[in-house]
Amino acid sequence: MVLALALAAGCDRSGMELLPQPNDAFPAVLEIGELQVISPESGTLFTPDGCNEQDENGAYNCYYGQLSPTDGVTLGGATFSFTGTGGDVCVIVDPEALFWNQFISSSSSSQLWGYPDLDDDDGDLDLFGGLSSYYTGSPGVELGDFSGFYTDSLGRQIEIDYVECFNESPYFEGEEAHAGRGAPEYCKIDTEGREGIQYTIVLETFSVPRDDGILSFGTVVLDGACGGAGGLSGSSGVSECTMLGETIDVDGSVRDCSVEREYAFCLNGEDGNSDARILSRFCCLNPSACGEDPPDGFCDELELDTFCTEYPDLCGCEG
Amino acid sequence: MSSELLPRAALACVLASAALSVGCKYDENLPNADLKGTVRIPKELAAVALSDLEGNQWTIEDDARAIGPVYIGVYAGIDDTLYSYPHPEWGPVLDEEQGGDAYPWGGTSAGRFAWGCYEATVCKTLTGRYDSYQSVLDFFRDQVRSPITDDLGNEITSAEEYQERCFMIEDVTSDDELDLVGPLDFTDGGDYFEAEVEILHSQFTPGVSVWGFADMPSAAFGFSTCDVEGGGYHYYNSEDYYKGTNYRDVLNFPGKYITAGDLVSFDPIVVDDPEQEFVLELGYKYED
Repeated sequence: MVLALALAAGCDRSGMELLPQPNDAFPAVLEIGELQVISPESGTLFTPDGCNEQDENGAYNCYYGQLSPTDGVTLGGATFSFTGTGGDVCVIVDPEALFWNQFISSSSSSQLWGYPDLDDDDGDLDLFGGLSSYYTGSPGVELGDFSGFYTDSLGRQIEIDYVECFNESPYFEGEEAHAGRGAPEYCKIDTEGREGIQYTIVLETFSVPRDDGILSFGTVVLDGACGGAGGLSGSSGVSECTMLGETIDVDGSVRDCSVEREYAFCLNGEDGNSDARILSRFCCLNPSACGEDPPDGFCDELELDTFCTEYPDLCGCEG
Repeated sequence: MSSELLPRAALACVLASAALSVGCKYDENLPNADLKGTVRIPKELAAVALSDLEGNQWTIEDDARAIGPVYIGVYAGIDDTLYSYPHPEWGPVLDEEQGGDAYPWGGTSAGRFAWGCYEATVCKTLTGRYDSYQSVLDFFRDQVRSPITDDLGNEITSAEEYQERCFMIEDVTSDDELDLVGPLDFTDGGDYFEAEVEILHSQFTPGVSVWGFADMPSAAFGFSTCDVEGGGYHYYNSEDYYKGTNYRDVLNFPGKYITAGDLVSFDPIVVDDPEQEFVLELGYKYED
């Protein structure tokens, strides 16, 4: 009897206390409005400073926003629209913050990715979209999808998925590939024959960071295929450094050292930089930005004194 | 224990079992049916014209091994206005190049692409066409005039060698484990080649139409419904290629795959009673 009572006490836990709770200061379902389709030539690097500006028609050039978790039952996320150009269009979303697999081998190359990633600051959004006329959701109120129904001549109803934007990942080839938490995802939409026609994009909340319970993100629509979105990490393709500074605090400010950490992450993986241990050295110098839990003695083996001389752009933040 | 209790308990068990077994007859009223019928191909239309790079031309006649995969679908209706032949009606056209999806209710095929153990057979050999390895070798040597070769270009002349290669490369020990050799789909029905087909678990309502076509070989003995970059992947020493397989959407977009020489069912088959067997004749030869 005592044992049964003791076990029954476990039934009062739902596990919800382990998840971020809704925050009334932020929307769980956000309607952004319209985004311009901007040319990659106008700058392939996006930051909060240059975004969230509207043209005379009220369309944003790009957008950084924040979402509250939902109650755990309903879907949450953000929606926006853009106007078809008649050609290829690339839609990019970058949820906070960034993620890497810690390399745990004892070899010297472990220092390249040897600093542990900070899990608690990562969120995830899934991306899909299609013609606005097929969208079933209520912008700002309830997320929907792009399903429609066709009834054949014998009366059978067939559900048709009108999605035209399928999640792609910079890390895995193929359509409908998810990049994982904290990583950018994108899709290409061919708007041929649909110039001037409105499309709706859905950014569906998949997970919310545990550190502050708010999911911040950046999103942009580029003219042309996604290969033109270079950012800082190279001349082609979407990367973590196409959009910087998506880690936004509850007070609306970009988190200290988060931009520099993304920059260090991107430089770390570039050809020719494998010996520089850029990310590990940055994190050892800014442990509060990366998580204060490096392996014992890890930072002692790195050359930290000359880091700011070598990489002045990565220094000076308060992390 | 009372001696009378045991018979009562046994009787109770029997009654309970009988009551439960009633559930085995429960009709779920699913709108599905297994449709059975026969596909008939006039022999005069099944003749296949081939040619080689030297300009030689010849015809394969009266040989069911030359018949490509026959696709049979169940559709809501047939539309005579979409192509020069009757074609299943379309749903919404989302892509002008491939037309609308015909949204089949069900379907099957008589024959499907089956890799013949060498690269030379990718997208050229089918199930249900050969009852022996010798039959495969004879057909390609005498009728197609392109003998089966190994992946180094050497002609395979022995059925035993062919079987040994298939067993080795597919890790099997009997022909039953291979798709290439086995029971034949078509029988000789006089002026027709005939194949019995079953469309299992098709969605059904009275008035559905059965329609089909045969993907007949091109002049180079190729098939439009075979994806040479699909199917399983073969990797063995220097051999490195896909085995080929049917495209996945043939019954959804049949018009996309019907090319010159293919045989199409012309007269509509409307099925009101799923117990009634149908006869589908592919009596129209499509020409560009």
